[in-house]
Amino acid sequence: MSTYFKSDKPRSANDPERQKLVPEHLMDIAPRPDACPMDIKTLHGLLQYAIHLELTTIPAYLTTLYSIKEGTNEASSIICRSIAVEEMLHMVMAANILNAVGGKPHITSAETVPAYPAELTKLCTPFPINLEKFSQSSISTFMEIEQPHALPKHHCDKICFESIGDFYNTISEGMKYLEAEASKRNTTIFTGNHKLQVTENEYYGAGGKLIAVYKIEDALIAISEIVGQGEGVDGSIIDPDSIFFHQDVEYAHYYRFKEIYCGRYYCEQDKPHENPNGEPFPVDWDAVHNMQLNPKLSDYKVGSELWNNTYEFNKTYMALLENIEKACTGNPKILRDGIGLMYDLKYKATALMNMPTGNLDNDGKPLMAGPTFERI
Amino acid sequence: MNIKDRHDYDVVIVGTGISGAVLAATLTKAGKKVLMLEAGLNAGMYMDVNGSYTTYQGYLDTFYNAAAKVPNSPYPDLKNAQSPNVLNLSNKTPYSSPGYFVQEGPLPFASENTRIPGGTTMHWLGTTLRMLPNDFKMQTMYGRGVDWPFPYEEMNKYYEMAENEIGVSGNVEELKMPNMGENFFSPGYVFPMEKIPQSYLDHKLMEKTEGLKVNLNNKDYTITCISTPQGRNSTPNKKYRIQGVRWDSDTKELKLYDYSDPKEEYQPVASLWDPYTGERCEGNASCVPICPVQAKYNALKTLKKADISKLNIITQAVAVSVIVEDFDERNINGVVYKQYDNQHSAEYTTHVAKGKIYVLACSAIENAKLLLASKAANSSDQVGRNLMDHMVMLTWGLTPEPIYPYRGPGSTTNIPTFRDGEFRKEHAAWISPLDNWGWSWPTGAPGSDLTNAMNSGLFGKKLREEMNYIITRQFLLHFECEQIPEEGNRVTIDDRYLDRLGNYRPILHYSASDYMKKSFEAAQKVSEQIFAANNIENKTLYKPTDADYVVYKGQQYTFFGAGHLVGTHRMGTAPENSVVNSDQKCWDHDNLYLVGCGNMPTLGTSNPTLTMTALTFKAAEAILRQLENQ
Amino acid sequence: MEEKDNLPLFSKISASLTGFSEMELWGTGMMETYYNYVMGKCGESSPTKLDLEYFFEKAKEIYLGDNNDENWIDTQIQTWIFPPTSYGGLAQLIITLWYTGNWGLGFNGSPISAQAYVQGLIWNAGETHPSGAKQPGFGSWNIPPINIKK
Ligand SMILES: Cc1cc2nc3c(=O)[nH]c(=O)nc-3n(C[C@H](O)[C@H](O)[C@H](O)COP(=O)(O)OP(=O)(O)OC[C@H]3O[C@@H](n4cnc5c(N)ncnc54)[C@H](O)[C@@H]3O)c2cc1C
Ligand code: SF4
Repeated sequence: MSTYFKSDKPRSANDPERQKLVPEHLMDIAPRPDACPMDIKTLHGLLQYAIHLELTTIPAYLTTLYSIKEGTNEASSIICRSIAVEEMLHMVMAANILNAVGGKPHITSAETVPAYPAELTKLCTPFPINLEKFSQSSISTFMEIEQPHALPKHHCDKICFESIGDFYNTISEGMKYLEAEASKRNTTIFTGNHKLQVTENEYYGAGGKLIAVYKIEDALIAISEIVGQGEGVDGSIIDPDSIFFHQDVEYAHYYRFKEIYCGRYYCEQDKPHENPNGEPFPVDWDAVHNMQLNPKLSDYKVGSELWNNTYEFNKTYMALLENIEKACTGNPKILRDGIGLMYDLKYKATALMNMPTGNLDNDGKPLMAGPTFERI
Repeated sequence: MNIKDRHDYDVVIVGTGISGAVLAATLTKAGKKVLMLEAGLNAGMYMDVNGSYTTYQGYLDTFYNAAAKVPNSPYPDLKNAQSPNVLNLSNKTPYSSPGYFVQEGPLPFASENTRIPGGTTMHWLGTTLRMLPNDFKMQTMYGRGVDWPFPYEEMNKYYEMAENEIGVSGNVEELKMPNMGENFFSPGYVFPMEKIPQSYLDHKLMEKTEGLKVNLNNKDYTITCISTPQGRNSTPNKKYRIQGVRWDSDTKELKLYDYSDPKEEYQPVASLWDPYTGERCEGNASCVPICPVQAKYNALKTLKKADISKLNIITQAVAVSVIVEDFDERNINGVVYKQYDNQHSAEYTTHVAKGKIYVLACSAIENAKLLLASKAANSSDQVGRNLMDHMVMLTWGLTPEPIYPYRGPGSTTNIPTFRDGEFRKEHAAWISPLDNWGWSWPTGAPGSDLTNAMNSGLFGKKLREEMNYIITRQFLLHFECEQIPEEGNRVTIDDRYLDRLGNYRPILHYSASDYMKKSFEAAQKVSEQIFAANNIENKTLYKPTDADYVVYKGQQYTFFGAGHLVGTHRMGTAPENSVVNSDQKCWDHDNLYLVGCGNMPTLGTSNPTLTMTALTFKAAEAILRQLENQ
Repeated sequence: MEEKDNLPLFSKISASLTGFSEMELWGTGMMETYYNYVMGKCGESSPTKLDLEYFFEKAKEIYLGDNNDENWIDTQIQTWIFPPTSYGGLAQLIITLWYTGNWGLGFNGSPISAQAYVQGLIWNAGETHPSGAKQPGFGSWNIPPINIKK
C-alpha cells in the first residue's frame, strides 16, 4: 500500500530464521579421507598468519578510503568502507578461532604488523601491497588480493598457497583433521577459555556478524564467512553473508572492487566472470588527496611538523592495535575504547593527507603526506 | 481509484510523531486499516535505504550550515505548516511576528515542536524517565493541581510497552528516586539495553555531590546522582526478554510477549538506511537537534514496523478541522485537510479523510487548536487550557579541573532528590540533569567564549590556551521545574491570526505563578551548595534581555522552555472537568480520540514522552476494543 | 598579482593568529578554501580590497624579514595586525573563520559551508569534536579525551 517503505527489515543476528539459512555442507565437520596431517602448533601458526594477512590489507584499504575527498565518490567510499570494516571483523574472528584452539593471538608483534610496501610471503606468487591513494592502480591491487581462484589440487606437501582461499581452506581442513584425531582420544582441540572470545556485544556496527568460536562448527562458519566475503563462494558473486543473513544483497569483495573499477554495479543475474551490467555510478579518480605512495616516518626530518604528525598517527595506530590485542587476550570489553581510537585514526589520517610534503608528482602537482601505519 | 476518496479506513490518524506512529504500528499489526495525515514534506517520509539516507543527509547538511544550531535548525521551515522556533522569542509580549505562535504573554511560551514526518522526536533528547507515584495524586497529597484518574500502578504495564518500543537504555537497580515505593518496577525488570555510559564529567561531579548534605528552607536533604534512562542505543541487556506488544483478541487486551527462543535477544534498532549504522550511540553530541547516525530513537523507527499492507500515509496534508456531525454531535464525520503540492507555493486542494475512528496526534498545542477550530470536544471549556512545560532554570560555572564537556549525549546523569517531597505544597518540584554540553545552551558557548577571548586581546597560542582552559571546564546544571496546571495558561484562536494556508495560528497566553517563582529561588539555594562543594566558580548571569524571566523578591530568575508541550486537553474523571477520559477518548464524542502530552493532567518532573507513549498504548487498546465491539 | 601568490603568507599569518601550527591548519583541508574566500569577501565595504593588500604587505614585512623570533612576531601582530581597528578587522574575522567556520564575528557569523563548520578548530582547542560530526564512538565520553602525544 504505502510507497514509503521499500527495503526489507534487517534480521536480527540471533534470529533463528537467519540461522536456519546456514548451508548444510558447511556444518560437515568430517575431515576428508585423504586429509593432510597437521599438528596444533602449525595450526596456531597459520591462524596467527591469518591475523597478519588481514592486518596487511586493512591499512591499505583504509588509506585508499581516506584519500577520497569528503563528499565525493560516495558509492566508492561506501564500498571501500564496508570492505575495510569486514576485514577488521575477519581479523577479530581469526583471533577468536586462535583463542578457541588454545593459541594466543599477537596483534602488535613485529611479525604481525606489516611494513609497506608489504608482501604476503606465504603466497606462491606474492605481489606488493601499497599504501596508495584511491586510483585504478590501488583498486586493481585490491582486486588481485581478493581474486577468486579455484582451489588447487589436493596435495599434502605444500610449501606455499595459491590464493587466500587456498590458505583458509588449509586451515579448515587442518582443524577438521585435528578435531577428528582429538575426538578419537575423547578430547577436543577447542580447549580455549570461553571468556577470551570477543562477542557480538563488544563488536557491533560491522558488516556481518562477529562469530564467537566455542566448537568446530563455529570455527568452520567463521572461516567460510571470511572467505566468502572475500572471494565469493561456489562461482556465485553473492557473499554468503547475504545468503545466510538476508541482508540486502551484498557482493563479495572482489566484485565490489571491480564495481569501482568499472564504475558500475553488478546485478543479481550477472555471472562471476563477466563485467558488471547493473546501474552505473560516477567515479572521480581526481577527487582524491594526492598522497605520496607508501609514505614513511623516515621521509621527514625528526621533529619537523610532518614528522610529529606522522609519529602521532603511528602512536594512535599502535594504541589501537594494543587495545585489540588486550581485547583478544582476556579483556573483550575494552574493545569499546578502541572504537574511539579507530575514529581518531581516521581524523588524523585525513589531516595528514591535507599536509603538503613540499614534493611534486610527475605532473607537477604537490604531493601530500599520509598515514604510514608503522610499528613504533 | 483515488485513495483519498476511500472510506474504508478503520482509523484516521493525524500526525506521524511518536504518538501517531505507536498507534499506527499497533493498530495495523492488529489487522486494522489506518490512514495517516502528515503536514510535513513527502521526502521526510521515505523509509527505504536511499530515500531515508538522502533526506536525512539533507537535514544534516542544513544543520552544519545553520548559524544558530537550535532544535529546528536541520528541518525544513515550511510556510504551509510552520513550526515554532526559539529564534523568534522575545520578552516584548504581546507580539504576533515573527514566527508561528502569537505570543500574548505576559511571558512568551518558549517551547517548540516540529512539523515533519516523525515529528518532534527527530530532535528530542531522548530522556525517558517514568513519573513517580505521587505525581499521579498531586491534589490529594499536596493540594496542588489535580489527581490523575488512575494511580501509578495502572501505568506499569504500559510503561513497559513504551520502554520496549522506544528502546530504553538504563540500569533499573540504580534508579532510586524519592517515594517510589516497593513495586515501582515489576520484579526482576530490566531495560532493553544496559545504561548509556555516564560521562566523565558526571563521574567528576559525583565525587563530591553524591551523598552531599544540603539545607533548603530549614530542612536537610541528601543529594543523590543516578544514571538517566534514555532512548538511545547501547549494549543489549541479555536479561531482557520482552519481544514486543500485541493485541490479544480473545481477552481484548494489549499484551507484552517474550521471545520464545532463548537464543533470540533484543536487537538495537539502527538507522533507517543501514542496519549497522546507529547500533550504538556514537557520541556525536548533537542529539538535539539531530542524531547523525540515528542511534537515538525517533518515531520513524516505529512507523517502519507497521504492517504496511494496512497503512496509507498522505503527506503535505495539513489538517484543518474535524467535522462534527450536525444531527448527532456525538459523531465525528471526517477530517478536513489541505494538501499542498509544493512547499514554495501557497496553492492547495481541500479534502476530507474518513474512517470509523479519528485520532488527533499533532502534539498538544496543535491538537487544541484543531479542536477549537472545529468547535469540538469542548463542553468542559478545558480545551486549550492548562498548558504546561518544565520551566528550566540553568546555573553554570567553571570547575577547577578539566571535566571535558561537549562530549556524549546531552545528559547521562540526574539528581532526583527534589522530584518529590512535602515542599510540593509550597513550591514546584524539579529534576536536575547534569548537562554534558558545557554552557552552550545559556551562553552560546563555545562561540561566545571565542568572542570574549578576542575582546580581551587574546590571539595565537594564548588564545588557544584560553579556549582550552575555558571549554574543558564548563559545567551546566538544569533545574527542570514542574509547572502545575493553571486555567489561564492556554491556547486560543482568532480569525485575525491565520497562516499562509488560511489555518489558525495558535495564540499563547502564558505566565509563571508564585509557586514556580518560589521553586526558582529554592533551586538557586541548592545550586549554590552544589557549586560550593565542588569548588565551582559560579558564572551564571541572567540578563534583562532574556526572553523568559521572572523577578521574585528582587531577584531575577531566567528560565527556558524544555520542549515539553503538555496539558491542553486534559484527561480526567468527568466530562465537566476534562476533555478526555482515561481511555483518551473525548467525553463529547464517540469516535474521537486524542493522543499526546496534551492529555496529561499534571506534568511531574520527568520528561513527558515516555509517559505519553505509555498512555498511547492504553489508547490503542481502547480503540481496538471499540473497533472489535462494533 | 597572481591569485595564489599570498597563500604561503596567509598560511603563516593564520598560524600566528590562531595558535595552531601551519601543518595543523593545512590538516583541516580548508587552507585554500579560506584563502580564496577571504580574497573574495574583501571588496567595496569593510574589509576592503585595499585593506587586504595592506594586510599582506604588513605580513610580508613581518615574515619575510630577517627576524624569526616568535616573540618579536607576536608583538608585531599585536601592534599592527590583531586590533579590530586594523585592516577593517580582518584579523579577527580570520581567527573566527578558522575557529568556527563562520564568516562574521559572534552572533553575526554563519558557516561558509558545512565542511567549514565541521573543521572548526574551536573543538580541537577544547579537546572535543564538533557537535554532530567526527563522532568519537560509543562510550568515548566516559573517559577523558584520547590524548596521544609523544
Ligand atoms: C528540544 C526538545 C527536546 C526534547 N527532549 C525530550 C526528552 O528528552 N524526553 C522527553 O520525554 N521528551 C522530550 N521532548 C518532547 C518530545 O519531543 C515530545 O513530547 C514528543 O515528540 C511529542 O510527540 P507527539 O507525537 O505527541 O507530537 P509530535 O512529535 O510533535 O508530532 C506531531 C505530528 O503531527 C504533525 N502535525 C502537526 N500539525 C498537523 C496538522 N495540522 N495536520 C497534519 N499533521 C500535523 C506533525 O508534522 C508531526 O508529525 C523534547 C522536545 C524538544 C522540543
Ligand atoms: S550522542 Fe550522538 S550518536 Fe549518541 S544519540 Fe546523541 S547524537 Fe546520536
